[in-house]
Amino acid sequence: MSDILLPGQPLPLPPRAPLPLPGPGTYKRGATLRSSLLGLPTISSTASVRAPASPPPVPQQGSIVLGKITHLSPTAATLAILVVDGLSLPATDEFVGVIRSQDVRSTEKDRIRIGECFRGGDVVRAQVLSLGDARSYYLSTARNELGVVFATSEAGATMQPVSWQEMRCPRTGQLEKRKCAKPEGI
Amino acid sequence: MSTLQNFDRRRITGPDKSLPPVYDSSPSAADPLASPEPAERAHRSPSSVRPIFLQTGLIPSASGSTYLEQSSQKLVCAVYGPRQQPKAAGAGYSDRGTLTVSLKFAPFSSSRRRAPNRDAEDRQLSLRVQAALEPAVRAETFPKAGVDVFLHVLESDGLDALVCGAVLAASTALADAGVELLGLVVGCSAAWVGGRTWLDPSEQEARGARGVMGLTCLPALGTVASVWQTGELGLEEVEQMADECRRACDELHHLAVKVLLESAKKRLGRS
Repeated sequence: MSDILLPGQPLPLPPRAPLPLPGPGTYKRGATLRSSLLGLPTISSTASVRAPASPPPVPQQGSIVLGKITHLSPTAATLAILVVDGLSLPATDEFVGVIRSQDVRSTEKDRIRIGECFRGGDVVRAQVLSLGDARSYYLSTARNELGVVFATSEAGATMQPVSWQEMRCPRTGQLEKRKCAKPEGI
Repeated sequence: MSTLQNFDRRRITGPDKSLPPVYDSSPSAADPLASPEPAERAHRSPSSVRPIFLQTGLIPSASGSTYLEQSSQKLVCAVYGPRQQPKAAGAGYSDRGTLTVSLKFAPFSSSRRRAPNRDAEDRQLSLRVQAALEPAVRAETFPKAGVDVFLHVLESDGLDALVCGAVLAASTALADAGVELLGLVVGCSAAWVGGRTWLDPSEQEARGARGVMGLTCLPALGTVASVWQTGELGLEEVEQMADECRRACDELHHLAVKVLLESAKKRLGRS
């Protein structure tokens, strides 16, 4: 008999041991822990089941996402979420996220101008604040490592961050305003 | 001159000699169920289900997919998502995910041509499949997103049997896609013909029956997901039919399990 579990199958637990907490891919029905996925179980203090092929990820509260700015307004920037927690979404399926102006940074929130923080086409790393409204997820970039990670200048070159508020075009040397993410490993 | 004036140019005149079309045979003679209560079932025993071929992973772009063939019943199922749902009018925020099922007939799938988009039957059948799947899908695991199940019927023989086949194909595809389920849903239909239960009736058999019912259940948990019934049936008859359906569902569940385990082993072996 294989160790692969099926949806609805009870988890193989040692007898007379305390019941582990139901983790991802499991659920508790009555007094038995059952798998809700087709996959292999891992049992310690919490039990979980991992599928061989995971479905497209869904943004949860607190997940780190990468998205591309699609629309700017004076109060908010809209982006298409492309990557959730390091897992990329299928090309046609994307979630809509919104960074409201008060969620761009944690200081001087009243002075924020969206146009000086993001531009269309920028790739932004952000954290999911909440599941938002019926249409979009609410995102935040109010942390050092969150913000614009990739942007092209007006001349069309990939810009380099020089401070947390500015990026420089390597071709023309022109400075543009962005809410930059702190590069990793610095 | 007068003959030319009487001649209608816009009409295509037929040949001088014509014959009525010749049919194979009269339909009443060919139909074994023309008599109200046929005694014996042709080709198979009353408690048998048509042999099933089931395979997963045919559509690479889908999260999960299956192909089901059951003699003259063929359908393809594709599962997409969880993904963002297009905003529907009046649909507010919900922390549960949504499941949408869309069953469509190919124009050539039935004995009569089905016009695409103008067919009214597919919507009702989609709802029946959705009603069977919804109790099993753990919608709380994908808040605000939605899973789309597309069923494309290539050939159908009996609508109740089709719903059951669609439920089996869809739940196998959902498990293949890694959507969290309470258990696999399988279904079986039955017809009451001549005082006996005929499982998995074909279209012709269902037409000759006094009543038809369908039952979908989660054999892993021992719970029933949905039941429907048409025609005139007594309580005891329904009870007997439901018992036979559940026995058949256990067998179908074994089949789905076998198919899924094989595909999972293949995937785990590859990675």
